[in-house]
Amino acid sequence: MPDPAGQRGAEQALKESEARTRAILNAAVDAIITIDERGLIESLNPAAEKLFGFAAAEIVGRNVRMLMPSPYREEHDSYLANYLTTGERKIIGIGREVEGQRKDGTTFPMHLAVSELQLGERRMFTGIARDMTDLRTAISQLQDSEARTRAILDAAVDAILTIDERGRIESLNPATERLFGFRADELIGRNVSILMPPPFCEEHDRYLRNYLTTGDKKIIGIGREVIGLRKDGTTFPMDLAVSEARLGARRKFTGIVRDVSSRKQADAQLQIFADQLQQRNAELTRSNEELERFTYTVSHDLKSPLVTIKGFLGRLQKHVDAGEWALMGADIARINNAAERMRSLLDELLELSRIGRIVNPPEDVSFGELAQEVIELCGGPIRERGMTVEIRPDLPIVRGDRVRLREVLQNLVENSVKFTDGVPNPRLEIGATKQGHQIACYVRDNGIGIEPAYQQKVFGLFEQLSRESTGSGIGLALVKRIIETHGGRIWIESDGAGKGCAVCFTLPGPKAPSSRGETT
Amino acid sequence: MIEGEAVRILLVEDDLDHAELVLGCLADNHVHNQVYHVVDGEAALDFLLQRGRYSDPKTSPRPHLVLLDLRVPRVDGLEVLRTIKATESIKRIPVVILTTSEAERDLAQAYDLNANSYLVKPVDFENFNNLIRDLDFYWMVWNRQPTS
Repeated sequence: MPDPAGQRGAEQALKESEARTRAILNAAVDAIITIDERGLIESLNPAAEKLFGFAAAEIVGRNVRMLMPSPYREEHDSYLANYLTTGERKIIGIGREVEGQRKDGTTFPMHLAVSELQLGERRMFTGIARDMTDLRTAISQLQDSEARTRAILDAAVDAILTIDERGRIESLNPATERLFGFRADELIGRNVSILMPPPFCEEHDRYLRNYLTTGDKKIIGIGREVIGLRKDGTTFPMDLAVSEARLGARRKFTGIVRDVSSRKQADAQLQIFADQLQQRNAELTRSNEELERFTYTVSHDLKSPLVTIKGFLGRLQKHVDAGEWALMGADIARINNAAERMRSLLDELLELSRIGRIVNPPEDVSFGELAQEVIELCGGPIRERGMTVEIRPDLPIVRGDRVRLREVLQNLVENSVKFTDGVPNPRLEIGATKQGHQIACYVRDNGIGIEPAYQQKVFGLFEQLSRESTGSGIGLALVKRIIETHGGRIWIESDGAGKGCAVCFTLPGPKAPSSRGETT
Repeated sequence: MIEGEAVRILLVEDDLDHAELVLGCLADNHVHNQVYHVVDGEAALDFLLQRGRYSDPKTSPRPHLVLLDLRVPRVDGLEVLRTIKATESIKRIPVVILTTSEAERDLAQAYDLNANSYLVKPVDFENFNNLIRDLDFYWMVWNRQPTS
């Protein structure tokens, strides 16, 4: 029975439904195409027209394969055919990445999702296509960027690590593996503090925590010198620079580590050189001062005898003119002596300057034997003085220029003989004790002694304490010079007038340790 | 200086030959001199301060002039000078430096320490003789001193 009202309602509903569908299709961004079993295009939406560059009228009724280049169009045909016969889904309800072809022949990457729909007895398929070009480009750029970053990290000489807020290692570069001796998989996920020995590992944890809570930068953005710990347990000095990076809400830290072992070695070496330079400068200054003193002293001490010589030549002339023959002898004697003094002064100056230059190769010398030798050499004066001599037993070995050392002892013994003149029981004692790597020696007498005020002066050039002593006063200066070229020191121990005197000096011990475990 | 009284000179000189030259020249000048000779700085101070081996004032009367060599043993010439000029009882005694040294440094220091004069021993005998003669005449005849 015809129902005009019902029919109108149904028509209305249908119109609305169609309008809705059309609205959806028109608004869709993706291309939506429907095809029949044979693959012929039934409909397409505006997005599809835009995507492929065809007007709908141009391709409706044509096979959809024209919208894809080979080999995709052949694949599509075979998938469709296959599905229709076997029901095997290769693309239906799945979606694949294929290529699309535009009206102008250009192709583009395309994501295609195909689904089936049934309209009465007809089997239809809807394809939704999306242009993947932008996505592809973005992916490609991202890959390039990653590759570039990776290249930098791989090539970096410094170790570069990233850690999370808790200090866990998230990534590291090959230099890190090389520097610390760990493989990447052994480090990722572990706390970065395993790469530092105490106390640095605790400090690091503390700084990180501190920074996260207070924002106080102790190492972040600053960099410090710390110690690194390798897998094999060895440590090394390293420069650690930590910076922060934010990834959204998450905080990451990047650490860059440089092994500064060689720099520290170079610094240490530089310091050694600087110290040496300073030492040399001090030596040079001392040398210059000594030279100045020396020059001043020498010029004076050469001028004095000249004054005498010329003076007494003048007097001699007067005596000759006056016929005073008896007085002439004395004048001539003085002139002669003065000239002699000049000569011996010049000789000893030469000797003194030689000491610094000509040194015999050092050898191990028995101090006791040397003392014995010198006592024999000075036998005459010692016996004349009636001096008793004691050479201490078990004297150690010293190392130096044998000839020079004998000169030292001889000089000191001769001085002792001189300065015990008038002493009732003149005594001489020679001894030495081992003190660490050095030997401390002494020559002691019970003579007139040397007052503390003069104990430094006696070693000066041309210093003489007493007119009665013969010689030009160069002796002790020579002795001091010899001891000093052996790297030793020399000093006087004496309480003063009449209380005896000990000249003490240090010398190096023997090269080959002749006595192990010997007490000092 | 009282007329007729011998002029007393303290010669501080360690070189015996030089001392002999000075004494000889002084004697030749016929100015009535009484020369006391010491050979080191310590003896010089002992003499002037009448102490030590010179405690008897008869052996060490106050001199009218000190002739002082700079390089003498025990106590150095400049030290002797410093002590003399710093000691109330003897600071007025004229001190004439008589030395071989022409070094600027020595000159400066001697003047800083108020030496009354600085003379350099000439190498030439004629000049040496003239120097001693003039020195004697100037300080002992022309120069005036307070009596205390």
